[in-house]
Amino acid sequence: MTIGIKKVSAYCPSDFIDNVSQAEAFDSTKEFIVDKIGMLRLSRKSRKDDTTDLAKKAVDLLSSEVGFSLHNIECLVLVTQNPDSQGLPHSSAVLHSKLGLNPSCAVFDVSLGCSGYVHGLSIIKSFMENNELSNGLLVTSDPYSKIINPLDRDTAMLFGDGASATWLSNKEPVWDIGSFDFGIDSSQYEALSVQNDGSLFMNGRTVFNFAAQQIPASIHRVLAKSRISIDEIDLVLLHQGSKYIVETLAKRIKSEGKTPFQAKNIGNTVSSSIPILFSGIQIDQEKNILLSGFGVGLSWATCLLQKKR
Amino acid sequence: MIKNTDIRNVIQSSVIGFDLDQLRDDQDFLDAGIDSLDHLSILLALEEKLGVKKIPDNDIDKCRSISGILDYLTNGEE
Repeated sequence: MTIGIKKVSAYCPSDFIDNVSQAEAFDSTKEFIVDKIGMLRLSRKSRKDDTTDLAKKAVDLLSSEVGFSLHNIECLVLVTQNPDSQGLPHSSAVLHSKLGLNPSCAVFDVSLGCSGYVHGLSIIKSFMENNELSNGLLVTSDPYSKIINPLDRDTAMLFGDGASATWLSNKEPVWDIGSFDFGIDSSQYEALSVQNDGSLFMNGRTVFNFAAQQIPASIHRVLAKSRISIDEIDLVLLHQGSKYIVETLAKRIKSEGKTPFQAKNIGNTVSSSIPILFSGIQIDQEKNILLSGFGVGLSWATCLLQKKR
Repeated sequence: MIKNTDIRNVIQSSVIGFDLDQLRDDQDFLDAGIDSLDHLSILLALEEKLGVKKIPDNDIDKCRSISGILDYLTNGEE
């Protein structure tokens, strides 16, 4: 019983920060925001919403779009590093309650950042196959607005809030989940971390170098494992860290023209950035898709998805 | 021995669409339109293409022009 992806839905709050206006306060320019950061707006959750509220909205959207019964969900995995309250209980338990899922559902969190969605696909697929479960939900919700210092120019112009929900099933999945590649350069974990004052710190140079050097190699390993060339890939969905890093990686991978950047109106939504991108693709046109997430750790995860024939 | 032309070749390959002829050796990259992200690409390309040892974060402000990079690579940390 092979588990694959049935459907992905995404929720982005309608409130936002105007990043061009914000850039002026940091002595940055509109050109820099438009041409390099690429994020004109950063989506922001409302004050009353917490991590699981965003997650619930993503699941509700998924449910309404495909009309499936949440009662059939046997496994719920939530990827977040900004849980509700202090993270105890695990936020997936809170989400399970809010969604009113079946008590016999397996429910746990995965603590990962921007590589979390791709890691999560492997975790939930393996878990479901090993335990003969038929329907599961992989949810991402990691609102960095909870940890951003608005005066820190290294992070304040990048991150937006969003959430996603992916339905996985062994019944007529649309996407097969193929080979994976994982890794970490833990010697540089401090480059993206929460400081003692509770705010996010990022060494942009270290994260940039890490991504530029590790991600092309990771993608090549997945292509080799899958015995497929980059020319046979229809779409490369990279973590939307910034327009600049996506374009830099596309150039290095030689996948320009099929490596979209679509975080213009939402910002970097961490583990939700790939599924948000994925939720908008035309499944009639694409057959082979590479996903690669990278960030906190500094970790990465890459995998191949192939549309069922 | 890394030469001026080596640095210029690195900049050319790192900054898409940049007119290298307009860049003076002593001109600050930012003043020439090379922003902070392009600067990161140049620093990485120095490592990858010219085998330069990683320039520490504390020293990268010394490497904001062609002559600054050459001085730094010749004289190292001061």
